[in-house]
Amino acid sequence: MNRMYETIIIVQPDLGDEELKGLSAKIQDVISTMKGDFRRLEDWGVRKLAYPINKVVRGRYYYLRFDGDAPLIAELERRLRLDDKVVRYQSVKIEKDTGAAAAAAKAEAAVQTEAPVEAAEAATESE
Amino acid sequence: MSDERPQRPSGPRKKRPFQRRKVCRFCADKQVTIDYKDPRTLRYFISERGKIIPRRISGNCSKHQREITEAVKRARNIALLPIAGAHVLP
Repeated sequence: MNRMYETIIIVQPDLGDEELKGLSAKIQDVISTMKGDFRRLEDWGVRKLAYPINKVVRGRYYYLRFDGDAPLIAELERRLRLDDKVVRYQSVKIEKDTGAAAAAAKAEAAVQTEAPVEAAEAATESE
Repeated sequence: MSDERPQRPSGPRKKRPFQRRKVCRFCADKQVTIDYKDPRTLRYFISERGKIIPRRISGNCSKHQREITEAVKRARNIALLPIAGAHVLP
């Protein structure tokens, strides 16, 4: 029986495009091979963590929404645990799909990350 | 000895004046949802040290307080809310 799940994945903030693409491809691969139903994967951008995790103070948040069963969750979490680019993950079973709430959180993420991203860009470009 | 301290009342503490009964925010406004992914709403229900504010102060009903508690704990896991106050850098 397929249930609705959502997973928040925090990855290292300083990853290249290829690594991020590889991560999302890996996630979709796990879900498709375990006969799950991939819904969407949102990138909330790099945010400041409320507390440092493994001495990392920033993290890139991913919001994954999918349907599946218990073995799928177990396999997905096993893969995430083995991946050292993933700082933290949390899977939650949800009763109903709340797309609007996720969008609100996303908007807030954009506001929060605006300043540090600009600062980082200024540092790299060094205009 | 010449100091004149204000005498502390020795008897039982004075009864607090009647406070207005707070109404649960989430019962009053059905539009507001409790979501662990939304730290702005949850901030209102944690103290400066990051503790969850008890129901007798926040005024939530028991159902919504349970939901708040769960949401705050989930938000703490994914570092959206602090576990214990803001860390002061040395």
